[in-house]
Amino acid sequence: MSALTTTPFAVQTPDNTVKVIVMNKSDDLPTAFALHAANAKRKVALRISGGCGNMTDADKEDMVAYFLEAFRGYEGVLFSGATRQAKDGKIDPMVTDIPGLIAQANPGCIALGTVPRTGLMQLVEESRLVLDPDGTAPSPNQSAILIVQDGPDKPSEWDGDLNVYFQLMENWRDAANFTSLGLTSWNGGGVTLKEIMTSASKGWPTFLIGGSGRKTDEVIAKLEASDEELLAQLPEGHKIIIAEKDDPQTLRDALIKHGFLGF
Amino acid sequence: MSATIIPSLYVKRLGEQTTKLALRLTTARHHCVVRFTGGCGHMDPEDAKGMYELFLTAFNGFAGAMLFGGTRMLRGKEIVPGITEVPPMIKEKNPGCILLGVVPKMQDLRIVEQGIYLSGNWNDIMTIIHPYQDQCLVIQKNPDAGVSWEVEYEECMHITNDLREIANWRSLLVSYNGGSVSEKEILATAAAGWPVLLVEGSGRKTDEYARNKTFLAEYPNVLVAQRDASDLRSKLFLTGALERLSLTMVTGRKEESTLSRAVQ
Repeated sequence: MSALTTTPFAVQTPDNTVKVIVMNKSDDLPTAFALHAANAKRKVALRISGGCGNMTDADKEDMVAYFLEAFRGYEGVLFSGATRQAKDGKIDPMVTDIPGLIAQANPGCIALGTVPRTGLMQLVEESRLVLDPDGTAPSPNQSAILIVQDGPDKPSEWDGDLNVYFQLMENWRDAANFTSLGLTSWNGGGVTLKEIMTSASKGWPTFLIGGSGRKTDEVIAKLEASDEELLAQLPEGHKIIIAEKDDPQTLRDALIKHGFLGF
Repeated sequence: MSATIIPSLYVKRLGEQTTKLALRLTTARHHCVVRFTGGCGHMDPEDAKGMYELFLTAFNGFAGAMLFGGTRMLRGKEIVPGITEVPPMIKEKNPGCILLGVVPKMQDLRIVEQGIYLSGNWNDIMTIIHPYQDQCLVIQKNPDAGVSWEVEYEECMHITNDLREIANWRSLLVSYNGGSVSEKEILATAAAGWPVLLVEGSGRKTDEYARNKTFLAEYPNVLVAQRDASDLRSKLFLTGALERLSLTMVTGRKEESTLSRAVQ
């Protein structure tokens, strides 16, 4: 947990910088961002989606430990939202911190992030960049972050980066020979639900962490109840995999089985 | 060219992004991009044959990515010797490398019996898109208007910059013969601080700069190779365009030996 004990905005990447790229939704996918994936040792990529609603500080620490254990030895690309939260001068760990923490513990892994620009970006304090008037900070532990905006003036919707990141991942597969793409989901709300359904609809391995809360658990409950409305939205032979929150080995085994770990 | 290859053809507007194309280059095993520039002015067919043998010998074992002009010159159905024949020949002998042609569209593209016509005279020498490359990028201002020749090297420098800065690749500009546009590329690449290799004895602008001591002193990133396969090959190793592989040999006990995959 040492990586979480630094000041919340300290940059912790291999070259001590975070590359910041801003694009309009209507722009071509940025090469300057996509090529970062080429630095991963293994050509596999996973989106870590979700949120931390209704979670205590202890729950969040457990979440970090869970992912660090499940992804031990991971050398591919990890991709998530690109924000950092702070509380009382310390890091308030979120799902978006997970890729960077795993990358710090596993050389060869590259952490990247995308985020929609939902408000005006601002410089605060000693010229520190924040993503919106609420003071949301950009993640300081990802090698590069891509801010997706709906033009320079208009605030984006919260799911404004989804199409961009799914397209980027597909380009890694189609053009750079990435062998496995997938998504893990922990807790989360409406945007997370969209991410789960998009990933599963593409036939990607979609790892849901059972017991993590909110939309992730709702989807699991519907699957277990053979909910017809949900099943109608999924392709035949979909690859939704349920792992257990209390046992990181369940996620680890699934990652190995689907070609993300254990080379 | 014997091996079957079906090039992907991309057409883009000047300034557009081509993410897939850059990502495809990263599938090369060796993380080095070599850009070929130059020409074949004042060169007879025998000179061209010597040039092909020179490069094929020197680049034996190459496993990186190559950027070149992406064109072929034809007189009727006969191939006119030129520098743009070199990278496809290297690709044929070294199928693991990745070859991208960058073609500035100067006028309307036309489909002819020999392929995609770019420019020239039907009854004399015409230029077509080279049929032997992994991918070809045609750049236009818009569907109606073309761009200048300089766009080719500017785009190659842009791709090289992305690979160097973001994907941590090495790069090398190899210059052979060439005129005023090659000169611009040599100067721009030297000024960027990226490795340049001038083949002395190849003629015209490349020779001019290979023999310019003031220029070479100002840019230590510019090297000169003689028009000799052995010297050229040694410079390719020196710049990292060819890789030396460290192999661990297990023969009862571990022994470390440095071997070049490419050395015959």
